[in-house]
Amino acid sequence: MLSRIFNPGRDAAPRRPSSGSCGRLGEASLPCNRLWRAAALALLALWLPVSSHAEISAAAFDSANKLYEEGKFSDAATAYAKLIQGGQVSAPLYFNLGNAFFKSGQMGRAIAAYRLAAQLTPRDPDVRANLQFARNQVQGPSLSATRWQRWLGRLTLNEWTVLAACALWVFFLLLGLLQWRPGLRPALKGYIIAAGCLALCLCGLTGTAFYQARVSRVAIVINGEATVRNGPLAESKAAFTAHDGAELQVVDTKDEWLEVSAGPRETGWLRRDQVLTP
Amino acid sequence: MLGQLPRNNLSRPGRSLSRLRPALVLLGVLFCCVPALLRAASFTATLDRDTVAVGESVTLSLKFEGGSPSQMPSPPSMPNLQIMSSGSSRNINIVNGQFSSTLSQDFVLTPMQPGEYTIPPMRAQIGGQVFTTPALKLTALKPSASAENPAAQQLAFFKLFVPRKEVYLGEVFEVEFRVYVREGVANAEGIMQSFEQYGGCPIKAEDVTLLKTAHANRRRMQVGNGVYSVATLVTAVSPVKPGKITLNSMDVNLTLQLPSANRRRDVFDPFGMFQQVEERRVALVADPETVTVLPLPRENVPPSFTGAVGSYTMAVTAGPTNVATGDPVTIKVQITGHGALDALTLPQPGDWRDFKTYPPTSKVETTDPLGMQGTKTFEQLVVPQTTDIKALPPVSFSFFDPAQKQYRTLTQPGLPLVVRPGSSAPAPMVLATTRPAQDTPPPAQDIVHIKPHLGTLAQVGPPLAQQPWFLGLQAVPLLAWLAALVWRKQTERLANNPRLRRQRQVAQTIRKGLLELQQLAAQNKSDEFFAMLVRLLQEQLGERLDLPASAITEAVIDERLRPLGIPETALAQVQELFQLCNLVRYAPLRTSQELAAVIPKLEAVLRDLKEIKGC
Repeated sequence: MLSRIFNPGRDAAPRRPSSGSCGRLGEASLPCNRLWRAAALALLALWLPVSSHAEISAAAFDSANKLYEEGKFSDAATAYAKLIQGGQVSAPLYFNLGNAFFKSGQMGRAIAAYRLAAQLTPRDPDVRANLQFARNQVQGPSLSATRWQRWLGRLTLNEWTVLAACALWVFFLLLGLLQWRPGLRPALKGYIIAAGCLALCLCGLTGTAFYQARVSRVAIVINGEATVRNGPLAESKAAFTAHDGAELQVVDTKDEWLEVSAGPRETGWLRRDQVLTP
Repeated sequence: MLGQLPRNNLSRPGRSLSRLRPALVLLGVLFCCVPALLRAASFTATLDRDTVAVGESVTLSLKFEGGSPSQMPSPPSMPNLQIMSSGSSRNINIVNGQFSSTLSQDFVLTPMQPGEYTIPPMRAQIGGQVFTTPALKLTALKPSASAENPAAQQLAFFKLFVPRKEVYLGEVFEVEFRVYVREGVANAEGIMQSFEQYGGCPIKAEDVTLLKTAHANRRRMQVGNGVYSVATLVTAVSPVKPGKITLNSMDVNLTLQLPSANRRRDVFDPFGMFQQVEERRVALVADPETVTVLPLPRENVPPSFTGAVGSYTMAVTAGPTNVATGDPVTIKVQITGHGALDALTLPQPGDWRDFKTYPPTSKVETTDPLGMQGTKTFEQLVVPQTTDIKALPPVSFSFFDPAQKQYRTLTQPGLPLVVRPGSSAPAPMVLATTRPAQDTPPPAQDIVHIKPHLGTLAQVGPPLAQQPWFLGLQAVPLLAWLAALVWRKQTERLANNPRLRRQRQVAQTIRKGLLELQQLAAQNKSDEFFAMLVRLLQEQLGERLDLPASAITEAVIDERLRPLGIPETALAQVQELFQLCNLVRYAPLRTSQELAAVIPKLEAVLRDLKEIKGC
């Protein structure tokens, strides 16, 4: 992609189609070259801010890493967070932010950052190791992912979506081919059934992954100890105590309160300011 | 009997066996029945309860096992005690060939006056043996005596039971929530089961932490003169504030089903096979219980006390104890005992200056359903930094013991540790005879270090599944398939409809023919022009009349077109064109204008012919 942008003439101009005035050599080729040159310049103009922004981000990332190496974990976390507030994110950025939070003793925020990193690169062994290590430090009740959820989490939501879309495309294109060449029915029948079943399964898995990622909400405790109460009132009696980093399922919300659950018998209400809902 | 068989029969096994069969069957029957017949008979008499209020009934059951009495005994009539027979039943069991029979005879006894009634011994003769039951005593209380306990008058009630009225702050104690349902309530079993399956906490209280709730076994209890089934839910509670706390129970609305006193005749149940019940709704809540929470003593608080209350023991282990500087040592602290195990924190170690420490991990293993008894294990990784270390720092754990009402401190002296210099330390010699356990990697000691590269930056945005362009893109294969389906159906429709196929072919021929006519007119080719004109007329008429094009002549106007009710003007135009074609054979038109002037006439005729409904 970069080589195309830097060498637009080599890649674009000679390969124009022969139809129309733009394709004819001679007097018509000059405006065509000009057109492509202008397009390349426009692309370059669009890319330059992106490139400079990436360089700035990389520099800020390096300086945040330096703060981390110097043991200034809170400062490093602030620097990483500032980068994220810029609107562009990456898995290493979330990962390092999680490390900085972990080292500065903010277990809940660390787990939240690792979870975001895992959403981008679910198969990264470093991210998984640190997330598991952080979870092991959490005291008291906390959600634990089922084997099914762990299996589903091996791919990102977008990866599941693309897989399901590909299966759907193959299924419908095979159906279309069958209409175009009815004689292929005996040969295509097995493939069509297989593609249909695969598409159905993948759509179901994608739906489940979507539910887990976008509908089902998890709250992560960021206070040292958060008292989970039986009702959404400060006067409600305490049900149990959730510690920093505890991951809780959000069941319901009311005003500034979230109804959370860590299991069938551990349900209650927490104030919103005591948790993060990544 | 076998000995009396003739000897010659023994030499023929087939015949001898057939003769022996009845004897063998008889032996088998005897083998099965004799143990039952020989089983010892018995006769017992029992009362379902021995204390009742005046006017209430008690059941006297006479049970005969191993046979039937020669004469059914009955309790003698007694003053102020009403006795009524309520029928008999027989229960026969055959389990693994073991035969048993029990005959029961029930009597309903109703005392009419308070006092003590003695049911004298009863005699029965079973299989030649005479059995005698002991005398039974029945106490009848005045109605007011049982009314002293209001609960005893109720069909169902809740009760909170707190074994201890004084507890210490942070101490874990049990609170029992009991559900009493009187026997005789038709849906007692369902109510019991619903409470035994209840997953929540039945206790309501402030300033306490409600821990786990467990279910105790169901019991039968006598309260006053009533017998109740009792379901019990036990909740572990820990107070968080000193002072008096009030424990309340949940309030529940129950529907009790009572056997109907006035049995009506039911046309659908003429034999009274189905029990008729009356429903009674009751709102139940237990009386509150008050517990005094004592504050922890402020004197003699050990420095290592972190709030643990209960009774505990501690064990500390560490390994490996011969390490190089920088090698991790795992310290395992196990605290076993009774109390709020979840809330226990790792005993604060002493001097860890020469160690690099990592956050500890912990796990709790409980041995009782309430989670009050068990072991909490802490594991902490420490890394010795110097070779001057000779031992691990001592570990102390303090807690308040409510039983002894004093603080106690458990101290584990420092475990000896050998620390070698890291650089000169020889590599650990592995004396493994088997391959290393690759499947179980050693537990992580710290988080993975930060990543040096920023990676590919991406804009934060909704996932593909929520982006309209992506969802729209998924319609493409569907539309492609639908288009292919429509095309296929169209093709099949054409293939199966030759009339339609011809119609389209003719339409195409006429489109091309009209263009050709214009060219021929321009080129002033009169013969070819009219030949084409005739052909187009034939094609159109042939298609409309479903005749071969070659069979179309001027005669079809009268023979085929006129009967179809086509307007005379249109027929005249067709006829004119045919006649013009005939005429031109002998007197050809000369100019292009003349030829071109014919084309609109032809187009008008073709339009009119298309309107024909056809044959």
